[in-house]
Amino acid sequence: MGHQVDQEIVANICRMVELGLPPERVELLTPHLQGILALLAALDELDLAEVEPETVFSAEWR
Amino acid sequence: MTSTTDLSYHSIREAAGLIQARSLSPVELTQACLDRIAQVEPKVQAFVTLLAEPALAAARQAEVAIRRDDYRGPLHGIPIALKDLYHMQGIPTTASSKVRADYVPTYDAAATERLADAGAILLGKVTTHEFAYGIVSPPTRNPWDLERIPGGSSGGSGAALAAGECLGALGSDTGGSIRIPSSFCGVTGLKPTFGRTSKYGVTPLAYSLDHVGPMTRTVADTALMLQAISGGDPRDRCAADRAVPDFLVSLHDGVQGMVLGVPTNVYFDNIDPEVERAVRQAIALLEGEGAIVKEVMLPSLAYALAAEFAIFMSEASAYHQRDLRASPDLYTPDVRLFLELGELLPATTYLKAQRARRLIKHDFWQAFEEHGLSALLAPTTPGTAPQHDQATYNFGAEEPTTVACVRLCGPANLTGLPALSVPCGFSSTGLPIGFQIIGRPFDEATVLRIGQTYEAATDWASRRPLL
Repeated sequence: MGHQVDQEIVANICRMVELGLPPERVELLTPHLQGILALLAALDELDLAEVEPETVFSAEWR
Repeated sequence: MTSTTDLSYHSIREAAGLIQARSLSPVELTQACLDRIAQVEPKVQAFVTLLAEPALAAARQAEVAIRRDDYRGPLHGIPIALKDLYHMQGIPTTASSKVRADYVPTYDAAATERLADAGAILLGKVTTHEFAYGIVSPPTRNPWDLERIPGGSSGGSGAALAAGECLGALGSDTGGSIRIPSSFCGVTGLKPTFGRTSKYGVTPLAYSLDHVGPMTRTVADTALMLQAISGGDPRDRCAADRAVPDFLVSLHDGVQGMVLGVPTNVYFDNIDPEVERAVRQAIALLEGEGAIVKEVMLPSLAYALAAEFAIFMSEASAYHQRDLRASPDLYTPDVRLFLELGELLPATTYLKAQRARRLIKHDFWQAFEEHGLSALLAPTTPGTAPQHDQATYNFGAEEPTTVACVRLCGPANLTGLPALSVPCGFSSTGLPIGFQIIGRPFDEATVLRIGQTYEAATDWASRRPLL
């Protein structure tokens, strides 16, 4: 799945994560984010079914 | 008469033998490294902080101790450089960043502490790409060609070793940061199994991908340094509480009958034909030494690059979240950009990558079990060291240099498997080429044994750049 982003979306996400960026910074970021999302879209092809993440919690005290 | 340059190019093993026999003084050896640093540092620029006086003082102490028969082992009196991510009490640890320009830790990293306990002489701190987030490591230059990068992020470690400024160095590896500069600078570097070494006191890049490991000029020296820094540590919950084997005991046992896998996908895609030729020749050499070579397919490897990027971008941005808001202008433009981008990735993408990671790990396990593999063999980097202003490789398809290098090195970070980069030749332009040996979890001994067998049959490790 190719996620399409534009400057408005990027500006909104930046506001949501309280990363106050000026418009020129948002403009710079947008094509790079598009590129990264295109790379990460490869993960959408995987059938992960019941696979758990490699971040299992351990209750061990150490 | 031995010149100071010859001394500073000694392997740790050679120097240790001479020191133990009292025919070489740690002071003489440390001074030889300092002389070499004075000679080549204006060109190479590997050191951030040089600890000349403390190093000489420590060398004098080592000399006295050895004279009293208080010899601590093969690192006693050996000059070592630390990547500037390793905490050292009272010494600036800048991570090569203005963000940490004034940071002076009040404690030692576990690896710093263990090297000091082994009697190593800590010569100083060497460059990293800012916060280990890249492969350029400015301002350091590659000793084989000053117009080229040393690789990174442990670029200072690789360059200092190739230039004969130290006998060993510590690096760290999140997506290839030990192996990439080892390959570009013609030295040997090991990313141990995740958990073999403690990360305590090492500035993180990505919590679940970071590895602490040695870089040296020979495989045996890598084994010696690994021996000193390995083992559990209650201060690092990732450090495995398991016995540390003797990494030297089987080093010279050869590869007769070992089954070695060669991946048929990803690792040999879009690589420099000169690199492919050198790596295939290395594989053939090991086959000639008695190994059985099998081609193996790792289906989920195609997703490794995406998983690696999703994980390290998210984890790095989490670590830097506060500083990025407080002082964004203190970061270099490339690192700031990556940190901002990492902030914009959904948590679900991070977890999807961690789920993919489990599949990739399973694929590696399956390949090792089904084929009875002792290790996998592959190129370390797709090409030789790029020029300082070179952003991409093009070996059939244009690819950013960082992405291309992470494509080949990242799978060992995702799986946590030990991976050793060993020099395996030079390009027609005189640049080093490296190949990696990826082993079973916590089986660094076999990885080192394969590397040693290869190194002993070639002379790449003894070559020096003209500086």
